[in-house]
Amino acid sequence: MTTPLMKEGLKRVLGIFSRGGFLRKEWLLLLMVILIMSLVFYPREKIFTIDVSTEVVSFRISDPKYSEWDISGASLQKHFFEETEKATLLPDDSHLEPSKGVTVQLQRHGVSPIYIKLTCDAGSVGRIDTGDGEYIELGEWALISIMGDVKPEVFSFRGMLDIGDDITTGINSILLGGSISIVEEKLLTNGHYIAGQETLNPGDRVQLWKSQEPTSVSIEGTACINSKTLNVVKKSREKSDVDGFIRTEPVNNYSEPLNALNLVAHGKADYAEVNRFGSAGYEIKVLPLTRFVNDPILAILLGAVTALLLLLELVSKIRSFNDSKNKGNDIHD
Amino acid sequence: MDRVRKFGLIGALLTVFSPIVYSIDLVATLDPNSPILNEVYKDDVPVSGKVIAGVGMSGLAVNGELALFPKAESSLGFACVQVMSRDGRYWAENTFVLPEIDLGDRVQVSYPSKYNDLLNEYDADDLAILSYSGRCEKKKVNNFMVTTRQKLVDKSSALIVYVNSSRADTYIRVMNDPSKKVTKKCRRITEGRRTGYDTICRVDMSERATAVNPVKLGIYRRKFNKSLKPVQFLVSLPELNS
Repeated sequence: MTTPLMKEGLKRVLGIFSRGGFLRKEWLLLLMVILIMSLVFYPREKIFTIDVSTEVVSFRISDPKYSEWDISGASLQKHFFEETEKATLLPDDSHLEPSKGVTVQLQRHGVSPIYIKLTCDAGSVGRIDTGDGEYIELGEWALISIMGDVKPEVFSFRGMLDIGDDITTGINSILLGGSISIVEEKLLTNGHYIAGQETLNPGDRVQLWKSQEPTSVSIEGTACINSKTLNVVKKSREKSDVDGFIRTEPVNNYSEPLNALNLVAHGKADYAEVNRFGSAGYEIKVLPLTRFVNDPILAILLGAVTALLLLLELVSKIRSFNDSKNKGNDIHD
Repeated sequence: MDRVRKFGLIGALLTVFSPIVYSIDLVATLDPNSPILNEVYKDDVPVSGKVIAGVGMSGLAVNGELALFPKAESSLGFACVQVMSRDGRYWAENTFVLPEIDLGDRVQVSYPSKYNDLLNEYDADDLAILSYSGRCEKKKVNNFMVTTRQKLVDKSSALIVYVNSSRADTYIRVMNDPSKKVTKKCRRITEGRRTGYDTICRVDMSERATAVNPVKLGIYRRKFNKSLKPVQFLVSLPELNS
């Protein structure tokens, strides 16, 4: 069912191609530009790597199995309102088994004790396996203090991360410094390259985000219930899940007194949001156009296309030169 | 004729039982001694170290953007109104002159801000308003009046306290109402800038019949192993029985 108007249009389009030929250099150029731009803007996996030294870090645990910690010899307080509560000294081989969804906050100043605080809006933050078949069941709040004076500690986790605290009155624990690197996958290969790196200043607060609608998480059967985030700034984003670990240096032996908590975390994200005191803050992200500089394969491809176009231009010039020469000869004849 | 009478009766019943209260709000205006609004909007506003950033109530009907519920004793007196945004970018402190008020009157605040468009964009919990009887120069204050915003009208009835907790875990307790003498955990804001305040405490007010007035509230904070000094204050609730 083609109308005369459609037939006319089709004729015109075909006419354009037939006049100069489909392989005319303008069309080739347009095709190349479309190809390259689609390769540039095609979504790629981005991994953010955070390497910081901080006095405070918190995360909401998304996978408790990755976040079980050895807390042998630590002391435990279970009651929020009882500051003078006699702490329970945990025996050797004690392990913390946190619940899914629990908010964990670690704080350490210099080489002072390490505080691990676990909170839930309702329910249980988890339990402690004391290593002798006994468990200490925890409520909606618990504080674990580790002296950290003899051996270094490493706490691994999987969850949604908040590093540092935004500066205001009464804040005494901050991010001390560090960097964020963005690793992006190479075009058409499994390789990766560093697409960008930013230095973090003391006092910054960092969160990683994905540009997607928040997925609803079932809370049925979850021991710890934490309400959804208050005051959602952007509804079209979701906090990114990261894998990471925190290392603490002991007071004695090989201590680095300045390093309170050393955190390394990796996770897929679209951007990192940095809150900086005295400014509107900013986002760390990779712009697709910077891939021309950073992605070696894309740079090679772009170089090859440029060379091809130069070659086409050269051939075209030679042809037109020959044509004009032939015309000149014809006139002379 | 019967039909006309029937419709008339229905109309009268609808008017009597209509949930919408049609009334003209009384208006508080800026103190003539300082007729220009004292307000700042910028990225590096110095915020006060006060624990209580604001006291509001949701679920109250108001006509304007901002309203106060002063006590009848404050009639023709002054009210200090402090407004602070959660991100700390907006801050204002001004004395307003209250009109002649009666028991249960609400007072609309005439707020001639040059940042009104920006203020209206702040979500329900992103702007804290703290108000008390008297001029703003008053040194020690621990009796606040309830405030509300247009954006809180559609929320369920609750007394809201905006707290600058210093990133401590925070609980609220109603001290003088036996029916509500339960300690309730407050919620920490985790997203965005929290220079102004970082925690929101809510006390359900759906069972107002049992509430005492003024209500005495206690804010309890604990930062890891150290408890911070509790803050206790009074809030004069609106007289809704009028």
